[in-house]
Amino acid sequence: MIFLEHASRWYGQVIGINDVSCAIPPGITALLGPNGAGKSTLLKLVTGQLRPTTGVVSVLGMHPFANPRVFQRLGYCPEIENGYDDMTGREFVTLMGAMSNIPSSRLTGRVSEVIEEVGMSDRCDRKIGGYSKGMRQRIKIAQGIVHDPEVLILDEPLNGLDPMGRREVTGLLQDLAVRGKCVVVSSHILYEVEQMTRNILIMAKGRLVAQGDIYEIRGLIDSHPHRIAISVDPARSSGRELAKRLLDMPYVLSLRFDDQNAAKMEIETRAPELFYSQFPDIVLENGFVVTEFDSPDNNLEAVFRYLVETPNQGVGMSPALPPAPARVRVGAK
Amino acid sequence: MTQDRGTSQNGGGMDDFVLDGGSASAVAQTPPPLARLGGPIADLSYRNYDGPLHNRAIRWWVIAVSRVRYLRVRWWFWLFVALSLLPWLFTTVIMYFQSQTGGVAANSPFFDNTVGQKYAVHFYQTLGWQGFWLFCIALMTGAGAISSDNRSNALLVYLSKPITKGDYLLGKWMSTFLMVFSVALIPSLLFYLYCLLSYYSDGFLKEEPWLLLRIVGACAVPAAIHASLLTGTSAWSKTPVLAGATYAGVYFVSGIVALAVWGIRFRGDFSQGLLLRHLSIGGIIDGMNQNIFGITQHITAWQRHRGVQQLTLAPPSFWAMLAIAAGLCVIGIVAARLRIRAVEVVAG
Amino acid sequence: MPVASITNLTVRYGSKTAVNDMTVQVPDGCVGLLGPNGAGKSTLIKTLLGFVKPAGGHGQVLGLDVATQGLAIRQKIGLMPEQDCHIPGMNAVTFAAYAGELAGMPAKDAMRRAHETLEYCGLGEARYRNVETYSTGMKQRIKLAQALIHGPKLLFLDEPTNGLDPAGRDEMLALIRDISHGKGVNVLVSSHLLPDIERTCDQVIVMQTGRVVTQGLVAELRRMTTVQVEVDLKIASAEFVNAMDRRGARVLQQFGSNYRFELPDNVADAGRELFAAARDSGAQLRGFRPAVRSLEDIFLEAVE
Repeated sequence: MIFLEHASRWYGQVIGINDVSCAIPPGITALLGPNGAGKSTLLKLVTGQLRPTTGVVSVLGMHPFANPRVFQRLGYCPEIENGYDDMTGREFVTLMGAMSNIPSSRLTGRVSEVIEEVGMSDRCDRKIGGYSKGMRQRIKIAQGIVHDPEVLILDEPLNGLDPMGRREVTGLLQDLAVRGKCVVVSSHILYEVEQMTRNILIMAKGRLVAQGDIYEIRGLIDSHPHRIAISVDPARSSGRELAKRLLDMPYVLSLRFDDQNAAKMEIETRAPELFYSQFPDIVLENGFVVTEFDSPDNNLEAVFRYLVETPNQGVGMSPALPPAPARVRVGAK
Repeated sequence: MTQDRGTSQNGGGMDDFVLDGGSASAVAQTPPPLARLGGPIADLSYRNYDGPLHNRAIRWWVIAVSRVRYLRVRWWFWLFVALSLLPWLFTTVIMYFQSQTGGVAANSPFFDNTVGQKYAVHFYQTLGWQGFWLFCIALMTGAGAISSDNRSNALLVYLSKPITKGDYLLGKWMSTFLMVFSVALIPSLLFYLYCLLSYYSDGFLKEEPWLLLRIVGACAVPAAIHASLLTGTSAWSKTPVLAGATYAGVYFVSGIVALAVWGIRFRGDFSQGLLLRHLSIGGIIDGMNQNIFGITQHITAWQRHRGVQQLTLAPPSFWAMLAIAAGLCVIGIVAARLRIRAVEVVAG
Repeated sequence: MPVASITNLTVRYGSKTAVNDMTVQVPDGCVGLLGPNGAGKSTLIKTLLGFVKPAGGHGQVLGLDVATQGLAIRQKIGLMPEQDCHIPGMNAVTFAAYAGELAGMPAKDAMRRAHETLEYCGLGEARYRNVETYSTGMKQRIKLAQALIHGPKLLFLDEPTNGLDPAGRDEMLALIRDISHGKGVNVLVSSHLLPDIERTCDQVIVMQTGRVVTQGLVAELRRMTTVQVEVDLKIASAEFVNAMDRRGARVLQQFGSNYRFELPDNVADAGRELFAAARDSGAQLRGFRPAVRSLEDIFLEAVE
């Protein structure tokens, strides 16, 4: 529903986004990236506030720049918080609804409907100036969906909400996605994104770094072999024995022990499939008592870190770095 | 022969010392200070601060000084300070010429030989001329004092420190007060010194013994009024420019309105409506200073229907002036205090 | 020895009662303060800062009474507010030193310590630039630095990771973890982001409508009453579930290929059962770990 083809946008000499091509399907897509990656530029291009310097941006088959026909079918919840402090929540949503050409006969009903959907029915008649952060967030979402858009763009939608509120809004967005809307969420909070969707779009330094399913992307990151952490019960099994057995396997690239817990080890492999299929046999045949095993970097945070890996921009030393692990290197034979 | 072993105190891997028994005196130099510091590698992570902490007494000073520090490096500030010194320069020059030409200029409008105010009149006049520049300096210091804090939410930082609202307010007020006060007082003291050295034999001290005190008082008046009103205006605004413009507006408009009303009511008769003519911020400062210096003005004015006349004007009513001046100060301070409410330190 | 304690506290704003008869002991170390919006967390913090005169009850922070010794309290604690705030017209060094002087430090100590603290918080060369030009991450760091400068014994952090990108969040959480463990600074973190609390805090206090509903060590609160495991398969497999069922385990939850099983109490080796079930059913086991209650579950249970 949203297409970018070789879209670039720069401001004077400063690059916003650089040659980005992607297609955003219906459902929830998370837009991730460090600060300054170009996410806000991308969102401004999609919501029609900017025109691409080169390339094409198309939303619902049309160019979004200053295009009222796109605006009627697109909802936008920006990150900014101020403005409209003198209106009540209801008035604000009504105003936004009226600007989107909802027929006035349906407007009041629709406004009440969305206000209820975002959980603000009891507080919508107070002035926005007195709202807490979470309440402003909800009203923002209400004005974004009041005209039932097909595309919804949200910038940090869960900011300021307490955990219940987060659940409610996540549920609301997932509901919209199920109804076939295209929902784009820009967020810094990776574990929340993980709970919302598996479809991600990562940007860094103005370029598109990756797009697609988290786990698929993880599988393709060659430079970082898969890490698998294994713990045994030290009272009943020997970690070193298991380590010896694992080191016999040719696909295990390296193995190191956790220096605080001798019963915990971590291996690296480029052939996770092989490992997973053979590991149960190794354990059962030798009677090892395994208490847990897990892939610590098979998650969004690891994917993000591996792909983005920006050095600290101009900040001093990071305190409390973990001590360098003792590595047991295989391959000296 | 004994062998001494120095012991390592921290697992820093200090080797045992094996000292030759013969150099027993060297035993006193046991493991070097490195052991006391916890090893050869310094710990650069967070250290606690257990040093001295002053009590409250000087907090407001810290706040006042920070504003001064901010202005100290701005070139335009120094430009205005230089401009504000010009009146004093002018007065010094004409005094000098008068002393050289011996009384020739004594009848010029700058001089007034009435006993008891012969010298005071110079201070009064020059302070009056300096008034506009003092106002400008007050604006520069005071307009942004609280309003820029409002804009950047600085009160959150201030109120989480061990200071009270009173400390904060005092510090802000003091920054403007001290600035205006110093710019008025320092050149006037220098001029006083000049007069003392040059005219002591002419009875400078004898004729006007309280002059020094009057000077201090007269410098304090504009400082206090500007400080109070500006702090009040600044507290109600979020933009320094707006606060400054508002106060400037009030200052000038009050002057214009007072003059206009007086002109209409008393038809330009200088001998009447003295109080009314002084009912503006600048007017009140002028009125107070006239009282403080005890100046009776002798002016030559053109009156309608009566032609040119010599008029003797006493200062406007001291108590009225004092009441209004004090009232203005109180209004300004109270207004500021109201606005610095206990900010929502943590939003709900 | 609790770092702060409140007994039967009642706070009113005009006619509205924000906190009613609340009793809580804030333990030392790193404590998370959780609660829905409007639970009274901000009122608690304001009270502990010595701002609020309680209508009833009393409280003490670091041995000082909140009603009468507010100033002394604020000299010993630091606050990192949630909202953007800074002193205008200053660079980071001046700002931090100024904050130190406001807390009572002599000027020279304040300057020296400003540099030290800014270095610790990760502001390098940027410290000589005007704070108004800073990015969100740097603003958070300077807020932390101004709270730390006078060496407080108790630090309040309100949404410390607000607006930070993932790298910045990691660094901030590492800072909080470092300062609260082994440096003698007690930290009270208020946040809605529960995984952040999980990573830094050892204890939590959960509030709702002006009362404390749950409090305790995270490790203990998270402990399960029964033996439960979370299992990841490559693909969801009904045969696996059947195989586990035959071994006496039952499925509690399933999200795609991720399951949570409850095992009988007498199972000594959960791994063995899982590997065997996987081999029997031909499913590919990709991970399993003992299930713990997440802080989010604890929180939601406590407030509902």
